[in-house]
Amino acid sequence: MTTTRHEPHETPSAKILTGIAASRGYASGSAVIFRTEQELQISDFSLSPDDVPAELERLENALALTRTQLQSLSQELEQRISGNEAAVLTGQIMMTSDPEFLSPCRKLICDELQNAKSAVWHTAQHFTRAFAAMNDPYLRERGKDIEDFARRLIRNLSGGGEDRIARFNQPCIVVADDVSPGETIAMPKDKILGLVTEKGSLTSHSTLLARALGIPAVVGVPNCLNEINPGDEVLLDGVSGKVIHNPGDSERKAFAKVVSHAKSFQSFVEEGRQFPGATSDGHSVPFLANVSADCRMTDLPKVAAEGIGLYRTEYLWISLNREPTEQEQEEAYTAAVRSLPQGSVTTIRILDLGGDKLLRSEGVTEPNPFLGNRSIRYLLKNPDVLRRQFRSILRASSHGKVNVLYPMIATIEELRAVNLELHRCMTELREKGIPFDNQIKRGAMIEIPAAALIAGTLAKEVDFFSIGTNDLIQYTLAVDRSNSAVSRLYQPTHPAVLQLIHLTVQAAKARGIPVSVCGEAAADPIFAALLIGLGVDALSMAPNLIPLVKRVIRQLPYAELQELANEALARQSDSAAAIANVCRNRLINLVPELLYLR
Amino acid sequence: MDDSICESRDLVLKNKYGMHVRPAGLFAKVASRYDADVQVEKGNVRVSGKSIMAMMTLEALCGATLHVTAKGPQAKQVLDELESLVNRKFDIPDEQ
Repeated sequence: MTTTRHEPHETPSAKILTGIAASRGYASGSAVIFRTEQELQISDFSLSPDDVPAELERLENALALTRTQLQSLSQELEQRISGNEAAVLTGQIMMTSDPEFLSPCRKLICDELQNAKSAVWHTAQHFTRAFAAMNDPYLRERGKDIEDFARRLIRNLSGGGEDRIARFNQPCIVVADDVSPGETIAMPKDKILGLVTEKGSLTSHSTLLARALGIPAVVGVPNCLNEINPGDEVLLDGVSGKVIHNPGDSERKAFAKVVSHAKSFQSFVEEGRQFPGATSDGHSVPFLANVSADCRMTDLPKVAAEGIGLYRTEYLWISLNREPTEQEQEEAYTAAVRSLPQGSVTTIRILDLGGDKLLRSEGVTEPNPFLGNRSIRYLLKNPDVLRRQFRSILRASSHGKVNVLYPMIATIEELRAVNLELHRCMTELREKGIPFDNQIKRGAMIEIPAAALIAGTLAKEVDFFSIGTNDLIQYTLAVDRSNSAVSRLYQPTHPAVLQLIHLTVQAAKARGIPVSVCGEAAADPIFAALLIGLGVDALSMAPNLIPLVKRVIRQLPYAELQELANEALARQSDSAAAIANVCRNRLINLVPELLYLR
Repeated sequence: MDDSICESRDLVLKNKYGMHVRPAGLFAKVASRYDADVQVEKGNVRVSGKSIMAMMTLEALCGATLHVTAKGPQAKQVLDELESLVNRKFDIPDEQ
């Protein structure tokens, strides 16, 4: 393979192809083209009856080789990534002994005298045709698993058992119609700079794997195999989903700029990693982590999380598909508490599950689970469940500082009832001589507009507030943001949302209790700045987002953020987009790096 | 001696993404462990429950009902374990 160097003066016409940004990152290099169709050379030649036993043996040997290859790939994969994607190959390993696949293959060889490759291909097609006709896009995509397996088997029957990926030795950008999971895993990271595919979607295995392995990728690029020739220079932007083919000088310069901005933004973020959360003038704003029972708590020190601002307990119920026992709960909560340095706080939110999940086993379906018998409403109707959870949390509080957080509070009666239950559990443990923290702090989630409007009353009954922006925005604006038809109406800077946050903070300040925010909006550095300006005391977010947001906040003086908040609140007749723009522009003047945030 | 017990059950898929490669593999693995023939029907399609590939072709989404028939000495045992596997959503954390 030769790499063509384009001289600056003979700039060919640059072409920008657009696809789906599948795996973040940038790459530039020369293209290597893979066409799957060309890989398979299947001829329909017939066997003579004498050859049948040898052909059957050839099939068995190829199956054994396929199994060995898949097993070693699977082991390699398990070391590199975890979870669902590692299981893909387990399925393919099972296919090597699937009777419904092997019997027809053998039958075609014995009865129809087909050669093994042709027999495998025809049998596989019988299965893959069924997938092509499927309506569900996720399941249709899974036909690839069978196709991928069949291709490997045919390759092994051809004697060329090696993965095509392993066959080149120069760093390059792979342009393919599609890449199989096995091939994505086998990609040597130092040789694959990036990946462009014609097929593929955000849910295809290769996309998920490329992301897990850190290979920049743009998928679903129409016609890329016809446009790009082997050796062509390609610039790949896995953030915006652009593939620049045959770039000229100006495109190369622009791309280099984007890459260097991304790099300097990354090093800008890294510089502040270990510092505590604060504004540039030293106003402290702790950055806390949102975690779930299944999270790896070991990641928290890496991002310098100053505590757990939201520990979601739902996962315990979901993973067991039943209520966890008190002991199981206590162990999980204690593990979280112990994962933090002494003195840090773990805020444990009691069960926040929808009626759709909790009541299904009882045969109840709710037409509108988000307005149904969920979360605190369910717990107050099932006080035994609530008490078991409270007792477990209290026990864990003897190992380190614990806050308990009540979700979905809409009325003062709910808050009083749940407080009373906690009080009863404390009395019970005290009588039994079981140690727990007497000073455990109780907090209410402010995530229903009604709660924000009566925050003054609620503040008298709790020790802190935590604003859940996801639900607060969803309930205030009546928007399901996962519904693409209306998701653009999900607007954190909507004046009504800002007013509700403002009301909540003012009510808390009047009572002298702290307010934190644990919704995803806190992870947008610009919105986070606005929240701090509004008087929010701490931010809690997904651990991996802490370094970025914290770094931006550490550049900003507190007084400036207060001004920003005042301006945003004053713009009551502006659109959410206009308010967001005002905030962005003000902050970019102070933190120019925000320009490079993509 | 007649040891061929024949029993059928309707199992409803509850995991988020339906019968894709991982659940199909787990289903086939369990079905293959027992001394019983296992057939799975959805709509008018009927496939072997011991075949991962055939199970995948059912296009069974979350909420689909699988009519599972087991025939053989361990028919009841295999159905019990398959029922529990389906109800546990195949123990796949992302699909609960």
